[in-house]
Amino acid sequence: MENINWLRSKGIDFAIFVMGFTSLSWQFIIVREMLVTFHGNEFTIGIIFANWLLLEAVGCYLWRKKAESIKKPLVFFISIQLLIGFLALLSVTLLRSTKYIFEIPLGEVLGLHIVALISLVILAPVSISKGALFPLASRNLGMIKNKPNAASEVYLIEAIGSFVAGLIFIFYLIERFDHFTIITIIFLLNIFSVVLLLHSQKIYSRVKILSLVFGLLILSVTIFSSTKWLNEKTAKLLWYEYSLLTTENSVYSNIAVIESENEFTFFQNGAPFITIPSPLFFVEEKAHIPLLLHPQPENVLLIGRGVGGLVNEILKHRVKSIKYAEQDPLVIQLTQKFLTPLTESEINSEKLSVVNIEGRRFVKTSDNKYDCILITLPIPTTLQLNRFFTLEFFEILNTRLNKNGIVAISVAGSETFLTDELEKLNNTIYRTLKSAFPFVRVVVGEMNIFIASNEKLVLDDVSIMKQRLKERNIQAGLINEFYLDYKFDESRFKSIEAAIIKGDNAVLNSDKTPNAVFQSLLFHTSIVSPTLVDILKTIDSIPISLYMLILIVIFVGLIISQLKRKNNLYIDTAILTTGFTSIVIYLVLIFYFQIYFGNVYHYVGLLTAFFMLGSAIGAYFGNKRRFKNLVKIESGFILLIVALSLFTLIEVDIALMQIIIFSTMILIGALTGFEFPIAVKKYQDVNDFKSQNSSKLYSLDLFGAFFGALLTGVVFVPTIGIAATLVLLLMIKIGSISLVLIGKK
Amino acid sequence: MYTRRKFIEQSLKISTGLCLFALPPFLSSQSRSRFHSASYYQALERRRVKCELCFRGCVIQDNERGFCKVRENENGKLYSVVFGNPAAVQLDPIEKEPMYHLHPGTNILCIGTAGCNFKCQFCHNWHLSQATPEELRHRSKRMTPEEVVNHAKNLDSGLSFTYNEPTIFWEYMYEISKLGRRDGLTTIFHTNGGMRSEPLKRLLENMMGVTVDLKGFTADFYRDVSFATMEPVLNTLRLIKSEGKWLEVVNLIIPTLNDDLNQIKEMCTWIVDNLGTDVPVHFNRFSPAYKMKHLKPTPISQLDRARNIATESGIRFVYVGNAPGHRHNSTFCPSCNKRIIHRTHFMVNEIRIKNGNCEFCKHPIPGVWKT
Repeated sequence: MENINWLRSKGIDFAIFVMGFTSLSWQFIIVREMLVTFHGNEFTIGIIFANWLLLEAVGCYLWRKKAESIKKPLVFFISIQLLIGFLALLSVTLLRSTKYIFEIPLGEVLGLHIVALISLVILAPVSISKGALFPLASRNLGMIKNKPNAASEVYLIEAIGSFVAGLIFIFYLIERFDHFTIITIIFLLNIFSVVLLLHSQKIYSRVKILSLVFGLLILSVTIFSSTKWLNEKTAKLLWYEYSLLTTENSVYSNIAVIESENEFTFFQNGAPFITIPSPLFFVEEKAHIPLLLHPQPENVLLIGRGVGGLVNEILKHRVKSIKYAEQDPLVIQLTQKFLTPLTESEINSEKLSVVNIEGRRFVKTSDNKYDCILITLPIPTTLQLNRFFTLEFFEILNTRLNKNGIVAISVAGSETFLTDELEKLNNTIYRTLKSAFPFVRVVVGEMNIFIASNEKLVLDDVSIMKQRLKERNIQAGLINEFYLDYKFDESRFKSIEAAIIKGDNAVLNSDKTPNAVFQSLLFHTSIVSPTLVDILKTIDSIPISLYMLILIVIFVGLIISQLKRKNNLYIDTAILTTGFTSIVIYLVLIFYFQIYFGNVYHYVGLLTAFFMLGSAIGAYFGNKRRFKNLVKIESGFILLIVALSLFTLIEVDIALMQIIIFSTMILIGALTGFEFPIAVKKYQDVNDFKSQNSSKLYSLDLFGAFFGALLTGVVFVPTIGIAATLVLLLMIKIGSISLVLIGKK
Repeated sequence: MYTRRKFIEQSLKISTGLCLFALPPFLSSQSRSRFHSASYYQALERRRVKCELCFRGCVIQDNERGFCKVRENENGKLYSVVFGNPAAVQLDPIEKEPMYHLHPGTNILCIGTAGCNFKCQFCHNWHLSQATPEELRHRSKRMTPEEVVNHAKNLDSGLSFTYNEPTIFWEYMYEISKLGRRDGLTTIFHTNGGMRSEPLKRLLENMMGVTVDLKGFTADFYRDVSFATMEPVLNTLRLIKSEGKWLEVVNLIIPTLNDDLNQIKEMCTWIVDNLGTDVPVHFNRFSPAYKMKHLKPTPISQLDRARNIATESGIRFVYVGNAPGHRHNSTFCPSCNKRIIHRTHFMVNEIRIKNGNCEFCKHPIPGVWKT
């Protein structure tokens, strides 16, 4: 009998574990898929996360009562668990077909409102179902283990499942399988868990279970055998207008290669980043103008897009060595796979050495010095890109230059007209460079080239450049003596250069106040959703004092309500603000990771796994009877926020920062996980316990997280910065603890 | 004592004062707008107007603007909001238009404003064309037609109306070009071809040449990608030709959107039949821009193929643009096949044309050449 009970209890435990595992794995997959479909940045990631959390909260909230009253909760639980497997497959298929179905041209950059809408629709089936699983899991666990309230235990087991998923995903699945295969593996895991659960509960005969297993196995084998086919077909749908050669995932990004007329275009996360051979006007200016400004360039460092033309142009200057920092080895692997005579000569050049290290880390860790450092990256619409446009980075670059050394950075510009957004971005880059180098000039063009040096530049004397062009015998398609005359003709571009240099109110761009990111996002938004620009500018103009005032008004209102009604409002608020706080700190830590290490796409799984590990540990201890003090846990949040704020003020060693980020991730997870069961116990204490209340708390947690994700990614960090965001967070938790103190009485 | 007489006196004084203070602005708003009067529109009932400048024929309600965002109905009268208000005034080589057979190697002062009557998803000048004058007010200049012409003369350059669609600032363009021609300056404009024939004919009197974008050769492309119609563009091309003005045609080949070779063949046949074989045709390479930022650049071989089709159709001067270093960026004599204008991108390195003839074989080269 004991054995049977053990089996029954472990059956449901395993099913909940699988629920957590499925949920997190699915999140990773769909976020990566959406990044490719929409070419995502922090904005889109924030929107996707927010949509996910909102839908899950809605699912949980809607099912909290139904889960209590239905007659066969186990059947519902099992059915939804299996359904999620199918819906996961379906939604990836649907996502990849969206552009084809709605005839959205592949080259078109979609507006944020469209991204928000499509992601909401695509995420809805899985997220809402996942939300509904929580109250069902609580009911089933409660019934099987005969516990009046099992939500806290569900929370704990789910967190363990998510932690394991994070680890397996990052260290095993993503590098070996395509997304369809991973989803099918997860589906099989769900089938296994369902079978185990059915078998352990003994509510169906063996024949029934076996026939179900048989049916499901046939189905999954069918899916499994066709994942390759499905993956290829749906990938073709996603790239329906092109002849797609391959689409592969590295731990850093997705890279798709298309071919047309013997020209290859590489897309990174859905946006084109190299065309081989590159159009000459893309590469010639970037290579020749800086190199012609140097009397004798021998050692060149290249960060950004290199092969496909740029390296070839640099080699024309008879340099001795080119170091090319390319973080993702997949880029070079695919370049070698789809070789052209141009790339073959570039890659085989003895002068070129490719280092598979992220550019900033490479510069920081190696002591090499260069005559020319070329940064050819897109504008910093993400924190990852922003690492190459900050004062801190420029200061490191300054120490890596030989005498007469030059740094050249390309930034979007215009020969005709700079919009407000573009001018401000250029002002910021100029001001930031000028803070690190005594001499900075701008060569105006469709791509402005910022030249920085410790020595005076020869930009005003075009004859020197023409002389060097001749001496080095450079044969190019675009750059010749006539073009140099045009390019450096003062009467043409002086006013645009003056506007960039002027920038009276230009702000500095640094690691921790990434102003250029917001400016780049504004510029990007002015193209895709012009109406949003004014809204964003208005948000940007809101002073932090107004946010503070709003928070004070909200909490005063809540305190008055709590004093009058003496209900459980304080518990609900604590959970809601915890959901908010945990996602804000989670995102801030991810942003920090991005700022310090720049490869969050590689580590986001691990970081999330650490958060879930903390959550599981917290939930485990929170479940123990003796812990009941909500004030202590709220104080814990406050202490953590204060500690984290301190790190925004001081410069921390990179190795120490790694430890801080991972341990804070565990801590914030632990506090969040710890509070949930305590809140549930609080409800029990006031004899107001119903199982649906724990589901309500769970959905409040998710609603809080939804607001946190949306506001942090889209509003707070880009406009007021990380430090001010933490100040607001501190106010929120102080408000929450005040409410708890009043509520307790 | 406050008598009735005093009361009437004071009331009258106050009323007169109020009238003097309040009436002038009221009167002026009735009689004179802060904007320049527009040409080519028809007054309709209920203070509406119908703009008759471009193919759209917008019917504009009182206090509203047309599709182009720069022509405003004030009290039943149409005004040009951008007259004297250019957003970009820039010196460029004439080849940048592109305009290859009209005074090659010279400079032009390019003028553009906010607004456009098309909405091309691949626009390179979207900062100007898709903005309202108000959005660009901090960057716009105040320049009378005389000032523009004097500026061009000081720079020893010609005049070009370009960047956004100049049709929408017709009045400003007309005034400047009239003064420009009077002073012997080169005057050209670059258009999407959406202007109606009456204003076009009048404008052409002041113009030496026109570059027309033929953005594609299907009504669907014009509708879906540019939110416009194709037929008016074809009419414009015919009219410019029949008016005897120098004409060059540009076709930007955009991968997957208008790169079908059959369509290109149809387009070339139409050009030969309607415009003749001497009209230079430019096949320009697309590079990602505006809302088409995720599209790849046009493969060079695709441009070459389009060029071959055009040549086979009989067009004598076919160029490949936006592809620096391409051989067919230069002009070759159709008779002796020697290079008579050597260009790299839009820079002219050498001209071997004398008095309108090839220096090598004396074959006449169509165009407008400086003697």
